[in-house]
Amino acid sequence: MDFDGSKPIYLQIVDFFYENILIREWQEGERIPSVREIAVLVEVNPNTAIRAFNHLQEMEIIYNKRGIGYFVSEDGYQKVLSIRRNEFKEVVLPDVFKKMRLLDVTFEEVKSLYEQNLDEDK
Amino acid sequence: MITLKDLEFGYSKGQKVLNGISLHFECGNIYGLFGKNGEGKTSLMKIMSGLLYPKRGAYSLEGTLVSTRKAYWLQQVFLVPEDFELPNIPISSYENINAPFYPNFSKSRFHELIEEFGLRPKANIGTLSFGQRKKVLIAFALSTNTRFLFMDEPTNGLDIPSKSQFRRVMASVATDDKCIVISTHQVRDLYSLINHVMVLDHAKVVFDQSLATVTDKLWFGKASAERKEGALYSETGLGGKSILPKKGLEETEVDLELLFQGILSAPNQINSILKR
Amino acid sequence: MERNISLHRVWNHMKRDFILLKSILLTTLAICAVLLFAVVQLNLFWNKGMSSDVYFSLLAFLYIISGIVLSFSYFKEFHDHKSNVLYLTLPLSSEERLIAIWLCSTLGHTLIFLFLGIVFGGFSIFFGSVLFGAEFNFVNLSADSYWKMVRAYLFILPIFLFGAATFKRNRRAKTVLLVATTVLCLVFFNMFLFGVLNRGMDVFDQSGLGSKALDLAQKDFSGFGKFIFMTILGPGMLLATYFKIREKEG
Repeated sequence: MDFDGSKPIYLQIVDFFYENILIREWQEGERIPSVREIAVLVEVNPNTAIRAFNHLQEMEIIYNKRGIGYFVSEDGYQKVLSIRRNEFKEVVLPDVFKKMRLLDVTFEEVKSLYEQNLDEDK
Repeated sequence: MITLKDLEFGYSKGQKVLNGISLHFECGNIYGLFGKNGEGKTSLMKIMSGLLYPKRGAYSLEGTLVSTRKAYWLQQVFLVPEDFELPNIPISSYENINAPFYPNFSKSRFHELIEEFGLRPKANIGTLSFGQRKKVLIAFALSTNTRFLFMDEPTNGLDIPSKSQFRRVMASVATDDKCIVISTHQVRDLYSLINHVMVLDHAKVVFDQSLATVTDKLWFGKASAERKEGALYSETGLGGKSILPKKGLEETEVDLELLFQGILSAPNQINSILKR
Repeated sequence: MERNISLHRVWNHMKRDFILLKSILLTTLAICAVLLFAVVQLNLFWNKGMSSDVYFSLLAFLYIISGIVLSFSYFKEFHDHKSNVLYLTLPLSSEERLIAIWLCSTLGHTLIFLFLGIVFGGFSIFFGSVLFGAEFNFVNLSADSYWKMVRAYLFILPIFLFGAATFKRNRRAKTVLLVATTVLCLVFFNMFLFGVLNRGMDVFDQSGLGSKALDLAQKDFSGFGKFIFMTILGPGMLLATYFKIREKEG
């Protein structure tokens, strides 16, 4: 895994979890890799991996079954989805709007580009 | 647990390589030992593995004071030196003659690691490249299962895929009962592994903090002009990054290279913020 | 606190030395065997027989010289600054290192030469006797002459072990120099003692008596001289070697 310079590594690991849950690689109620497996996979100090797990546990996206391992919560997918949607609305969109104004791109242009993109994906 | 108290070392009279070094190492951590070349990192590691005897000061391991080389404590310690020579014998013979000295040696782990590093146990060490020999030694070191593992510039001589392999392997062996100390100036290779930083400069310890504390108190990145005013340290040049007191700012990953530069140029400012 | 000396570790060190020094051990042994065989054949050819004395001086010569040569090999890793980092951090106490090296160079070496001297030597003599029609006599392997040789070796070796542990470069030459100086000192010491004990005879005035004293001193290591030789040069040198190993830094 390549780390982006600015965000703390543990939060980048959290993002990696979100991604896997959103694309349904890790389903609700399913067991996910252990702390050590994640540490090895992303080549980090196990303490950093533990921090990511703790963060996800506090958000109730994953839970720990003692002696067995970590699992995705029943509403894990919904939670990640709402977190990501908020992030999109609060972080990504304002940035896009700012650029639109700066470059004088109209909302209609964006709309037609969006529909074009939707057609291409089909 | 290792405690060093007022350690002093020098090769010739007057020239002190280490002066009044007091450090504490706990299990469950990977320590990064940084310093410019010739600032005593290697000497410190050699003292901790019994190769050099300090001129003054005390060194205790698990609460017991150690002085001369004794089997019972050397069994708990392994040093991967930067510069070394291995005998011209097959890898498996090397294992056979040295493994019996380490009570917790894991034969299966050694073979797994040798395989992972793309080596054959029957290969003669004399025919291997420096990087491959380094891998043999690293594989051996990790298989001894010693509680304390010291590595001096472990990624020197490794190619880029091997460095990634090295990080993976280190992540898998770093357990709660192990204390790993890595000295390096190739910060980029290892920053994701280290969780505690120690910096030696002018024969003294100028920095000794866990990265968790650093993340809590400092901000790293490209700062806006007005923020840059209050920077603890700023790189010069276009796109230069700065270290700021974190205060209400968002959490950033510690930029070890920047931190190292900052410590060398403004140790007091940085340390005073962290100790608050 | 654990024991400082474990026979298990000593044995592992000996095995380790054997593997690492296999080629030099075997080469030295092969050279000795060839020399022994050749000299025995020459003797049987020219003299049609071989006395026990001649055979044992030959064997003693090979045994002691090869033992000394090999004693330096045991310290090769110890001095090389690139490999001693790994050797010195190997979990062994200095006592164990010394015991292992001492056992290899005394017990191991003696056992090998027992085999070489009796089995291979016996075979060489038998072979030569048949070949050259020499007088068919086996060398008298009397315990006495054999043990004399072993005893001499046991007391000489520690000096060379000390030299091997002490000097980093030109170890053999420096050690020989050390030994020569020591022997010379002992000779003069003996002479001096002789002079003191025979003060009335004016040893130092009469050149005749002085040289007699030197003669005697060289021949006679018995008494005080022998005592010093045995205690200081034997165990004393081993103790000095121990401190050299203990103080060694890598």
